[in-house]
This record gives sequence, structure tokens and C-alpha cells, in this order.
Amino acid sequence: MIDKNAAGTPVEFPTVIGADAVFKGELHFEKGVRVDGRIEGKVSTKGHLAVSQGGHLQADVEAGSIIVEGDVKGNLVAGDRVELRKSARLKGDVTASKLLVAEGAAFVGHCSIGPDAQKAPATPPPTNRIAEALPRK
Amino acid sequence: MVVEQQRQIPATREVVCTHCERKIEIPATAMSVSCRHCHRRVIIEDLEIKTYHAVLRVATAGRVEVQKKGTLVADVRVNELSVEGNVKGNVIALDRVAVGKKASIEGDVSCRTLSVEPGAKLRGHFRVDPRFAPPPAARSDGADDETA
Repeated sequence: MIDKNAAGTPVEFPTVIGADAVFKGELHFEKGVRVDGRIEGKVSTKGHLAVSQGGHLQADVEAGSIIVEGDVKGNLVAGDRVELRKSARLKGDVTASKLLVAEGAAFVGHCSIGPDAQKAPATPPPTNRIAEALPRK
Repeated sequence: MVVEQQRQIPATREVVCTHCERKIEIPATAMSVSCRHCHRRVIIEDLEIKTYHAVLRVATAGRVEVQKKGTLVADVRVNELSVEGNVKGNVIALDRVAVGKKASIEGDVSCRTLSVEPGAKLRGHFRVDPRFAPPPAARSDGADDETA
């Protein structure tokens, strides 16, 4: 159920983008939003954002937390957590404090997960890891 | 009266060669074998990393477990990876990667399934695809586990 997060806590969505709706542009929401339709552009919300199984999102997203069951192409930035459920397809970078990936989810992109992730967004890792790992004189 | 003696059939299992990615059938208790396709040595055994371990490459057709106090600095090519400690390096897992709540991975990760517990730190490029087929490993003359 997309109306509950991984912890089982109910999540409210005052706004629902219907399955036959297509939005293009920049959208801002104060509370939670569930996307059953299609959005292209940019989405920001202080609450939860959920992309349901038939939903398509081709947008950069900034939200409190993000749950994905559908298709997403774009970068996701979440203050709290990003959940990729088993039917999720994500192509883009993820920056969040926590990431939950269910078995079966597909994800291609850079990842920056952890408490300090917001300070340092998703970037490729350093190449010379072994030299870095060696003790310095 | 004929007593039928049941012949003990040695248990076998199927693994994927870490070099050519082709399936090979091996005895269940084998620790390493030669691949019948590419004739190269394939390590089967499971590895547990309990302390600091820095090598160029770790390749096994088994499972690698990096425990809480373990740090693995290496490019990793495994069947299954479980991380409770730290991994610095690129990871290719033929099956799954599990990241515990206090674990961290710095490097690119390619696998079929990924499970991440809340609290884990991840940094790098991730490719999680249930139909993921890893590219054949680059040929190296040395052993699979090379110390840096």
C-alpha cells in the first residue's frame, strides 16, 4: 500500500494527481501529493511525495520523503527517506538521509545517502581509493 | 531377497564463473575450481571480513560478509555481498547486496537486488536491475585476491 510507509505509518495525501492527468511545469505543494498520472518538470513539497504503480514522473523532486512504485526519471532529494518499492523504476540521482530499496526495484543513478548527504549531494566517488586508504606520513 | 543399495550421489551446486560469467556445476563442498569454459581458477568459498582488509580485487562465486568492525578496500566481484561495516571500492554482485544500518559503501555498485537498512551511508553510482548481467571480468595474471 502506498498509503503507508515502510515503517507502517499511514501517510496522508491531500493532493492526488489522477491517472488521466498530465502536468508540465513547476509544481509546489505544501503537504503530501500522490502521483497516479504523469508530471514533467519540477516538483517540490514539504510533505510526502508518492508515485503510484501507474504513475510517471519525469522531474527533479524535492520532498520531505519520497515513495516510488512507478516510473521516475529525474533527481530525487528527500529530507528524510526515499523508498523504492518492488515495482519502482528510477533513473536519476538520489540524495536522502535514508534509502529503502525493495527486492525487484530497478535503479540507475548516483547515490548519496546518510545524515550528511544533503551537504554533499550525489557525485561520483574518488578514483584513487587505495592511496586514500593508506596511512599518511 | 535383493537389497537395493542406494547409491550416494554427490551433491552439486551451480555457480557462475567470476571471469567468464558462465554457469558451472561444482561439488557442493568445493572451495575453488577451474572453470570448464575459460579454464581459469574460480574461488567459491565465502569470505568474512572482520578487520581492515585492503587488496586490489576480491572475486568469489560465493558470499562476502563485511562485519561490523570490518573495512574492505577493494574492487569486489561476488555472488552476494552483505555489509555491516565499510566498503571502499566498486562492487559487482551477481545476485544481491545487503547494506546494514551502520554500514557504508563508497564506490559504484551493480547488482540485481539491493536492500538498504535505514541509517546506512551510500556514496557512488548505483545500478540495481533485476535483469543485470555483469560484463566479463578483465583478465589479470595474478591471483584473485591481490594485496595492495
